[in-house]
Amino acid sequence: MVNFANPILLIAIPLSFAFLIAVLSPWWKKGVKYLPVVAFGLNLIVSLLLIKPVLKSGIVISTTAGIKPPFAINMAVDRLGLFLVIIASILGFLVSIYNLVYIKEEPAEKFHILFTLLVTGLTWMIVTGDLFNLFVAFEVMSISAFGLVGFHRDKGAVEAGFKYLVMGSVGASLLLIGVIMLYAATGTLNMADIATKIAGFTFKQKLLPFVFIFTGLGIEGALFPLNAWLPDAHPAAPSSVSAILSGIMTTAAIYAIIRVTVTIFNFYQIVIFLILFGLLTLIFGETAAFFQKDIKRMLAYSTIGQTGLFFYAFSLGSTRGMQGAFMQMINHSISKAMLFLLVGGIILATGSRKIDDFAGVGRKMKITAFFFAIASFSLMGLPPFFGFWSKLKIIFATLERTNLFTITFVIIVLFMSLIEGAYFFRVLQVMLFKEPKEGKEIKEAPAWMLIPVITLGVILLVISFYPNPIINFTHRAANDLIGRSYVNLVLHLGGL
Amino acid sequence: MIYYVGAFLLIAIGIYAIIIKKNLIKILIGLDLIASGTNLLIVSIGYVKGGTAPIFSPAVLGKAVKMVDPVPQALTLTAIVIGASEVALAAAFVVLLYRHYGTLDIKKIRSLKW
Repeated sequence: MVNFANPILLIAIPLSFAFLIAVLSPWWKKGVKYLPVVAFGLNLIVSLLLIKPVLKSGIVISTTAGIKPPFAINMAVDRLGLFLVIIASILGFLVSIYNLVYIKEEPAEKFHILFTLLVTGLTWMIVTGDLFNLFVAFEVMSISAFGLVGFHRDKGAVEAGFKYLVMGSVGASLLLIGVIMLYAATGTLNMADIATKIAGFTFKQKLLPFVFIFTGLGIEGALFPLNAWLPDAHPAAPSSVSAILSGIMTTAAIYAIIRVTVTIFNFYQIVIFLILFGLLTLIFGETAAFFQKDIKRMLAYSTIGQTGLFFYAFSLGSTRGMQGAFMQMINHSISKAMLFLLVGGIILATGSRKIDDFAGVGRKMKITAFFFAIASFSLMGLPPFFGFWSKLKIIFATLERTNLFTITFVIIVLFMSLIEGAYFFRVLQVMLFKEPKEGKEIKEAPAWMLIPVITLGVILLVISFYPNPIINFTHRAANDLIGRSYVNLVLHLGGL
Repeated sequence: MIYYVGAFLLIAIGIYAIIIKKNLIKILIGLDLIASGTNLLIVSIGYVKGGTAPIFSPAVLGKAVKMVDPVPQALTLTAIVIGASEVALAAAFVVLLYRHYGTLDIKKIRSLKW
């Protein structure tokens, strides 16, 4: 009996389907667009099968070449990786359904190849247990993202793509330098093995490789001074790609930073420094989003803000803070992907990206407006939606120690939530209460573009009203992370 | 030691080219220099003075022979492939930018600033 709950399948299935698209496309041009749906459908099944063994033993490890860790490359999914893998598979599956009708521009088959590789790369980044493998996954993900950002090939898209490419590849080189420094120091590339060998190093010895890796991953994770590419790249991409880029790609990069910071380096000395990064990113993103007139640019800046928020919550370093960060990651991924997919439909209907041109759209596109409202309410943290629980958790985590600093942090977080609310309500007000412009026939988006959004909306509503399983689960994930059980489990459990 | 200096010098020149130069092709060369510098760094980390190639053959069997570390060489091969595809994609973007604007000067291209 073959065991299908194997993390390596999460990479192998979509990767082989991506090659299959390339091979089949000359003969079967119409049909290849269904292949990503099949690939991520299978991925979703595999990731759901992983739930049971991960809950039982805390980790599922698969080895390559039949050699147990720390030798050879191993893939490992622990509780922290599990929920990200599930979100990535769900988003990959639903967005590839959305792509069936959304992508009309040629060469469509190349789009589908790159899209499959993008989602594969970020899933790979989450499941890998090897640092050099992390770099390869990072590159698979970012090179396909560069191509997808420039997919429209008009002026803006090409510029944004080139800008993103230059920053992204410099970041990747920095990441590689950091990884190779760690290899030179410890003689291994396995994350768990490095973690045990690096334990005896002094802070100064650990700092230099950490800075290189942090900067490299931080460029993709859009932390404050390194995110100049994001507000250009996310809007320039097709809306379905923006949903993946904003929804899960930055989250995956932040996940890699968390993995490196806590599991490998076990850094708590530089916590204040990381908090500063998170807060600056939050302030920069939300205030910049407030002044945008272009809806996709506004959502892109809002992504920066959200990234800052959960990075801030993570860098609090307490169990509660990390739990808040993970909950906010789930909330952000689902709602931001929904918003981008809905905006894609609205742009298709109105032919414009300016918020002012959306006047009265909500009266014609009732389903779109309804789900736009749900997603934005959850993102800004209105009760009873899921965003409320996660922001509440973050605020409680901040106030675990009451002093002048933490009170300032809470005020900043609340004020930024207010700004977030202000710009989302402005969009809703334009969509629902302004008189529609004359002369343009506005129709609801096609059914196949609405079904993915409705599914995401239902998931969001379910977790909003029954948040307890996720709260318990993220609590255990945070405990695992802080207790660094990953290292022990990989080194001593080993093998399937 | 001289290899490390050379590698970091290459990386520094590449970063300099990306930040200072205004010509798209020069930025592209800068990207390639960073990738090359990194590859040189990886290979030199695995280098052992006077070491042989890490291959088991009858000539070295049963003897204590110094060998260079094979892992960095495998890593370098992967990194070279990735770097090449990145530069190729960058070149494609430069061609498209040239078609849109008729120039390679980033000051004349509207929002290409960083």
